[in-house]
Amino acid sequence: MQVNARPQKVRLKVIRYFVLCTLLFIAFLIARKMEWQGNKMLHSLMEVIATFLALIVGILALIRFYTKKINIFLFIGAGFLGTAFLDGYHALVTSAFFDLYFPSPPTSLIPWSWVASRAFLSFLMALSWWVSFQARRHGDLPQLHVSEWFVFTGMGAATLLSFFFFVFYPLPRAYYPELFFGRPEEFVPAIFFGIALLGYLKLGDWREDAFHDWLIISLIVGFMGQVMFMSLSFRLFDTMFDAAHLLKKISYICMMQGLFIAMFDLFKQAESGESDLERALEGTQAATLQGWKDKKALKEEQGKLDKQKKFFESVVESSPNGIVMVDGKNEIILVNQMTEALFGYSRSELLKQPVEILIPHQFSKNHPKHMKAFHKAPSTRMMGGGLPKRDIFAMRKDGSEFPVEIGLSVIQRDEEETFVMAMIVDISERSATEKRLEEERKALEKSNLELDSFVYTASHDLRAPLRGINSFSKFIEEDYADAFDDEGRDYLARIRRGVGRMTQLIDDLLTLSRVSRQKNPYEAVKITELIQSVTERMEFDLEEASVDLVIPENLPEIRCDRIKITEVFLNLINNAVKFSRKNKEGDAKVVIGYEEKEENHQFSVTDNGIGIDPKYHERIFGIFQRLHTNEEYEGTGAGLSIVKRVIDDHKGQIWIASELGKGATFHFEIPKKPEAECMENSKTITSREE
Amino acid sequence: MIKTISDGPIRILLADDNDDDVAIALRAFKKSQLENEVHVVRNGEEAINYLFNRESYQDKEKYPKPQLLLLDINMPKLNGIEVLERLSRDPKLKRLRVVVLTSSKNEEDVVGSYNNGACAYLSKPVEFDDFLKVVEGLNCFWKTVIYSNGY
Repeated sequence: MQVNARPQKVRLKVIRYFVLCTLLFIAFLIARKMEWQGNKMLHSLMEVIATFLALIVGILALIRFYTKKINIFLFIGAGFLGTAFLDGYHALVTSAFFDLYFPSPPTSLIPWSWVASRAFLSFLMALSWWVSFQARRHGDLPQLHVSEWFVFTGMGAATLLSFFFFVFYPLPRAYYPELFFGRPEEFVPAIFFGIALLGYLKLGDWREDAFHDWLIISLIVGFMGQVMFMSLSFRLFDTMFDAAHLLKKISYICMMQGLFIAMFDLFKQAESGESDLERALEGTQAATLQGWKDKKALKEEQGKLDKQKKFFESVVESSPNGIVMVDGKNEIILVNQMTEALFGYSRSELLKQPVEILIPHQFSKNHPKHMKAFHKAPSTRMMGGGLPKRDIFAMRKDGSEFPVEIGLSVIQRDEEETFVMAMIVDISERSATEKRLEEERKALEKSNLELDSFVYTASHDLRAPLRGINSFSKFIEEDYADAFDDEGRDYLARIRRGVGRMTQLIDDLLTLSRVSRQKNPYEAVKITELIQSVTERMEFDLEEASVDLVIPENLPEIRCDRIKITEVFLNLINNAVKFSRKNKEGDAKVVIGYEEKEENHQFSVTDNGIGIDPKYHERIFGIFQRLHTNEEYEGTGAGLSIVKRVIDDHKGQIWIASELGKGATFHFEIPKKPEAECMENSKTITSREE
Repeated sequence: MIKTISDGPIRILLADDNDDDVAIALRAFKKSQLENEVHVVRNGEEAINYLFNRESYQDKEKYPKPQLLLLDINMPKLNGIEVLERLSRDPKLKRLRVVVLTSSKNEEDVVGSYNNGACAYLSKPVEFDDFLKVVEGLNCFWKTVIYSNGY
């Protein structure tokens, strides 16, 4: 039952009720003035019609009731069915044919049997209201349970009772012409109709429900028919009598109309309910279909994820490095095939185990501590990379150890769970190679040392006899010069020149071995000052050699090994002067150049001497490589190899630009930032040459 | 009594195992203006025996105490540094002036010599003329610079 009735509609209904009452009143006024006399036939006809109408209404109401069990229809149905019987009876008893069988005269029988029917109907109408009212008072649901068989039995009993009553009981008179109301007994049903009318009006369902609306109309008609028409009938078949009968049928028709509408609504509801149901069904089907589709999509997605998962798993599995992942409790949660192969454990033996089982006992003790430190400052780095650097070993299942390199990285799944992944590389082979290389390096160092000591001993031991040869040949020259002829003196001079040359060779040899062995701390050196000291040490007098030495003003201060760089400039300038002083034009010139590069200091020493044929450019830096005889240009050929060694030591470069006869330029570069400044003192590698 | 050693010949003990070097040295002394009296021993052990007048050097007249020891480093039996160590432990001989004259430029030898009381460390030049200059320098140094405690 809907709430919130539209006020206009309600007002319209109320107006209709008033109009109805007014019309009935007008009809009453007209009827009073009318002269009308019906007969038994008409009455019987009308009662037959009434019987059928009541029967239809009763059946409809019961159908309605059995469609949807609402008590009001049970009572209306039962009431009208009973009324149909009573009306039928009424029709029969009033027919001329049956007059003989009843103890009462028709003037009593007809009105009383009418009243019986009316009273029965009005009582059941009132009862139906009362049941509805009680149901409403106790809440719409659940419906007050009324046994229909009880109602039917009651109705049947009342009907039968009235049958027999009229058959056996001699009825009193029904008309009282001496009174204002010719038939005062008509007020009994009128009272019940009135109760039902007021009750249903009060119930209020008429505002919304079409059936109740028609019910009200029917009750109004019934009530008015009793009060204004039948009660004022003064004899059988007069105007009021027939009008009342007409109104009774009208009231039945109104009832029927209400029931039709109720049925219609019901069918409509059922129809729309069906379509609702269909829609709901369709919706369900669609939802199912969608669900099925979703499921399929989900499955596909799952398939994709599975594929990706498999891919990543295979990446981990096929890694050439062992991969071990541990959780926050240092328990192993993931290993790959290589790990199994490296450690000799099966996967199931490793999972859920503390990671320390893979670490040799002497290291595993400290491992939790290292882990803790790592968790404090997690980063991707090599294990054992702290200071001092540790060599890392791992332990196989059989207890054997092997050297490894382990890269660590942190994997954060969410805020709480942190995992550490270790990439393990077996470096047994590599460390074996490293060991072999180290051994070879040591052997080489040893042989180098032996060579050094040989050079030292050789040059030292060579020097002593040389000193003897030199001195004694000189003594002979001094003391016994007269005993020789020119030829003899020439031989002696040759001996002494040979000694001088050999002394020079030995000195250069010692310088060279010192340059490669001796390491002096780097210091800031002003090149201008350095060249100054070089010119003082030069074996040639620049003026005497008439060589012009050009020193630029932009010479820098560089970080280097002062002693060795001095050797570089000494040798290069010496060479330049040596090869340019014989310049035929007599304008011998040695130019020192400097250019600052991004990362290097670039120096050059240029002469305008005899130049060097490009085909010899590579050879000239080799030890004791000479391009000229001693008579042409003196020297041992060690100078440039000393220079090259020093430049190499400083991680620099040296190269030459020259053509035969066109002078030569030696370029060399020294890095501004020496990679590893040699801070070692020369104490450990001592100079032992003389 | 403190005096310069300018008066009288200077008594030198030369400890060197190399014949040639001894001959060259002797010629250099002879050629220099230095009046001298040179005694020669051929190794460290002999030098010690001479200085302590032991074994064949017991005759103090024949083997008098030198005023200067010219000491080579590389010698058989006892080397120069060991000789210096022995001398420095003796209360009298620790004041003997010792000039190391050697072909070695080894830093250990240089430092070891000075640590054990050597007055000078000289390297033997190849050229005789240079050697002569060394001896003359020694002479000059001896006569004009150094004061002796009369040893």
